[in-house]
Amino acid sequence: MRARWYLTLFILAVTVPSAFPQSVSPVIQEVKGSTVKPAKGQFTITNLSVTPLTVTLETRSLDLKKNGDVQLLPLDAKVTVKLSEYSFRIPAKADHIVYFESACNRCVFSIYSSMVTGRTPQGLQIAIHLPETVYQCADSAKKCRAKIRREQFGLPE
Amino acid sequence: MQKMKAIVSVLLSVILILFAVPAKAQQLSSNTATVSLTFNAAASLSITATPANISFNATGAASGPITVVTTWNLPTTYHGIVGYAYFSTSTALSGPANIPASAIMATVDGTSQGGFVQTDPTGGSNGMQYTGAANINFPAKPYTGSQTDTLLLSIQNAGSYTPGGYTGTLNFAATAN
Repeated sequence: MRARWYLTLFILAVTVPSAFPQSVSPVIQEVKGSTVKPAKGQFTITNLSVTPLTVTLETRSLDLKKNGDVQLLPLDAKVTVKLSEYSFRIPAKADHIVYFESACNRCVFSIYSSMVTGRTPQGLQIAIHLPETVYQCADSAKKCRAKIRREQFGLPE
Repeated sequence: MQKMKAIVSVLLSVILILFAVPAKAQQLSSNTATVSLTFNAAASLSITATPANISFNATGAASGPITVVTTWNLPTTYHGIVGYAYFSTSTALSGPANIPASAIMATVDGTSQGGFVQTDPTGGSNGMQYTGAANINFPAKPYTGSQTDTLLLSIQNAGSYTPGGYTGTLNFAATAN
């Protein structure tokens, strides 16, 4: 009787589409770097679900709107971002650290992660995207976000 | 003479008592050793979407609502979080024909939002904000918290599309600013 109960639970766990929570940390970071001396940084993507997860990364420039909207743009030609990897698989309940190297004198860019689990023969599958936003200044990392928000986008700090 | 001895004894005793160094005063105090503690709590942002797949019946009704939980732990320098639900292109589902994003109707947190025709983070007009009316703005909302939103989807005029299997991907993105 107990074996049947466990079997039912196993079948449900395997077949029922489940939640797949994902997390990125930190969300925003400020780094010091230039075109001559690139900045180096890292961030962590966490797979909080009980199934492995495939993640793909792409780099984008950002347009910050006054109403709080964020628009992703193709990466500015003046910005170079190298990632330690562009796609990888995270085991269940595990973290994965991504390293980056970025060259620009003053810029903001996003490392946009895309995560999809499962396939569906009919209907919609759900994808989750979490951006890691990096503000880079040549003079100092401190207050770099505030400077770029104010000077480049006319936004409050 | 005896009296003199007694007086001297008493005086010596008094002197000993008065000038005796207390035992505890003989202890030596060391320097104060300190251990500095540092803790850098990293900011984080996460999304949970349940279920991972949605199917539609013949009338275009979804198999169930999508529950989206946005969880954040952010510094006080942040202004808010915008949560988007969007399709990557103007086609939401492809198959024997294309079903446009504008034909996918969504009810967000019980309020009808129409089709996916609003600005999305990729610069297109195939999205909507899944946070609905409950925008996550700071400091009105706490800098550490979570919000649960539900999206119930349907396909407008589902019976008018060529019979067959249709597939697509609905994207959820949260951006902190």
